[in-house]
Amino acid sequence: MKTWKKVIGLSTAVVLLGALTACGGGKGKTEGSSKKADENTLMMYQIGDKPDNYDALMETANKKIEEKTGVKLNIQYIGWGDYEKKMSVIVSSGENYDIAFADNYVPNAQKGAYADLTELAPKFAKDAYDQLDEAYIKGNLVDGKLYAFPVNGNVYSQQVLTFNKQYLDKYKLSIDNIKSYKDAENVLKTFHEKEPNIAAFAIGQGFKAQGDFDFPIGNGYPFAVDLNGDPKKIVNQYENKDFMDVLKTMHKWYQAGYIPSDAATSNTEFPLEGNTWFVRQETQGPYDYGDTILSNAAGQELVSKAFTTPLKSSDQARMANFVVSNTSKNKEKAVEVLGQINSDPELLNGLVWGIEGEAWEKIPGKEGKIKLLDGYKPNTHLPAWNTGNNKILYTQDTITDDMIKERDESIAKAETSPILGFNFVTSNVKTEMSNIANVMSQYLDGLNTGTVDPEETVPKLKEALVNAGYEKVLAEMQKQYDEFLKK
Amino acid sequence: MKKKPVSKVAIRSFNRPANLFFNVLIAVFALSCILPFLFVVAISLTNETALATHGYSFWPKEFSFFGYTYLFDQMQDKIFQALFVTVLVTVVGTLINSTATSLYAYVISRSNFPFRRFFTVFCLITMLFSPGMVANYIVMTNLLQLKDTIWALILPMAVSPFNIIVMRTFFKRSVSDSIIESARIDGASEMRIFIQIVLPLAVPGIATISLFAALGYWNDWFNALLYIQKDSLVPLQYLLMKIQNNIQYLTQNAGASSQLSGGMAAIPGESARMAIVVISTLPIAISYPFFQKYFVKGLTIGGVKE
Repeated sequence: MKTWKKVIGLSTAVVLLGALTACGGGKGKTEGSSKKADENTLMMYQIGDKPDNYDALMETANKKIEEKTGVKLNIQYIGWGDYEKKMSVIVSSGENYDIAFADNYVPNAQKGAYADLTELAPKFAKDAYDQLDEAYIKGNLVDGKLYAFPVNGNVYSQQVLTFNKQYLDKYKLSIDNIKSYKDAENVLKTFHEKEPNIAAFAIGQGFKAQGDFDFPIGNGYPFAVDLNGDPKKIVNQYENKDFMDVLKTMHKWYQAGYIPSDAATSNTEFPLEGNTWFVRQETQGPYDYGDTILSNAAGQELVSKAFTTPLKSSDQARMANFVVSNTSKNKEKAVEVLGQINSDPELLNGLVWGIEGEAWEKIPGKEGKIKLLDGYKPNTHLPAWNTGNNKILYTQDTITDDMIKERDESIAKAETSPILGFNFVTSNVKTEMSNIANVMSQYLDGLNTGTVDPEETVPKLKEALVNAGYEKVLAEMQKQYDEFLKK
Repeated sequence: MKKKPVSKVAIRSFNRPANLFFNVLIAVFALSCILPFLFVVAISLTNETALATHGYSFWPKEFSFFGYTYLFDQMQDKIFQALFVTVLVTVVGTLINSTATSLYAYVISRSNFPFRRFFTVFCLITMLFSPGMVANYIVMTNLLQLKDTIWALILPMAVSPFNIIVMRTFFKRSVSDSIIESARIDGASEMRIFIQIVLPLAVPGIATISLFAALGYWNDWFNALLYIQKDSLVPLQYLLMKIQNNIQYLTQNAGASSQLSGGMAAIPGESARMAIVVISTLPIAISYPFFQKYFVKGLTIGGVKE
């Protein structure tokens, strides 16, 4: 009796399992057949919000792309904040996609998630490749190979203090002499006396005070190269005298009330277009044409004063990287499409400015100049910085030829970071790195927003770092850096 | 010794001061649960500029329904679409979940079911060892091809091993073997026994796990993050998550934000966000009292195990 029941039970289980797999198989087949039609469509993951008129935008774009390359592009959008989480799952599951906005570029490239473009890029995207600044190629090399196709844009950047012009005018404040944080003190003081309820220096959690440094693994870690000091040495920026002064200034401002008292923990945003702030810290590059882009975004006049040297850094070179997946079956086509987006002005401008004739029109007789129409609305066009080659973008009439000339000159003039293209391999010091990350998460926001007194806290930080194994990581990094410099 | 006759079962068996103490304790606890939500409601009703200048307060400095009108004007389509998805997923999911869970739990609770041990261990293993996100993702997208379907929101949570164990104990405790036996003698089939005898006896337990399931489905946003790409399938919680994540990203990457402006959706202000929280929390909070009466009986895993 019992065995008989067992046989029945087991056979039912087998039948059920069979049915399940058959079901899966059946679906697989239909998927297969539909893929045939999709073979000419490349899948691309992009960061951000899907534009409202995505279908219309892509229809025009795909016409041009298909004409030249024979394939179509399908862009899937993943939200700003979700991109990292979702891409890491997609990458580690080995899912099939063609192009993606790079996430965690160096580790994923080292893992082999991305296709090697060292030879593909110059071959299949020659036009666009040739327009790239040298810093882009150098900054994106991982173990001597290129895995990404960067968007040609703000190749250098510098930190600026951006002032709300309405308040400057209202209280007749002059910012002509501002070249560092310290210089801004007087203006902040006057403003704070007049408008104590408005954040004078509008910062919040995640804010980093800036100096003339470049960071091999990001400015959240205490490893830096002092651009005014020895470029061959890696140092702790929190031990640097100039940076200590910056932190002290921050602390002073915090105590004086120029910085919101909850800055170290607050996520409050200070909208650019609003009037809830007086000064903010921004990053600007050549394609911002001074304050033009920023003011456009804000819808009000803003003026900025730079306080760091313009620098071509790895961060800038990797700002918007497009990678081709190693799982892609159409790697060459994918590179071709990337090349197309980055070299065909008609195509790119149609995406970045919106639909021609509806959102903008060319100004007759003026090469590369356009006029915006009423149809130019937020969320009906793509951002320039992560779409394609900024060099071939048409510009609004407000941007003069002189400004464009200045832009190109400033790019040529900008300094190149000594650590451009240096990738620190952490495999030997993994434990120490995570210890250091823990220590930093404890001190970063407090120190950078001026909430705590640096004179007291920095020694504590140093001690905690030493306990976390700082010396070992520093030695390892210096070793790798020396090798990098030799090449 | 003479025994005292038990005249009544005293419910309030603490003395007065202790009673007062515990009441105050519970009241404080209850307040600490409710106050944050009231705070959220208050913020959602506060004028945006008043928020920026005065900060948060329990009684809005300047009343404004702007948060709600903004939602209904600007995000109407999105919000209602998302609300519909959430309700659909919760209702269908809870039905599937409670059916699957009680069926599974019932068979492994019956001592004359031959594979009882195997299926119990099978269930326990899935509870104790998790294969991790990536394995789940591969199964869902490659094997089952569920990406971008409503099932991707329902099936991953259709059976919960923990609830199965709870229900199994519940069946064992509240449905005695003798009752099943007598039904069998009267000529009832297995199906009839389950539906007409066992289920009515197990209503408190089923109501409890249904509430667990409903809460789980209502609050879930992670499955949507992983598997949902289509705008039409985004549930309410994920919509909220997305807005919150976007804001965080943009405030932390302030450097890029000026360049992001092109193609960026307008971010709803603080009061609008809080209004979304209110809208997404209220329905499930309102449904709580209806389950509550079962809750008391249903929640015990059981001190006595047979």
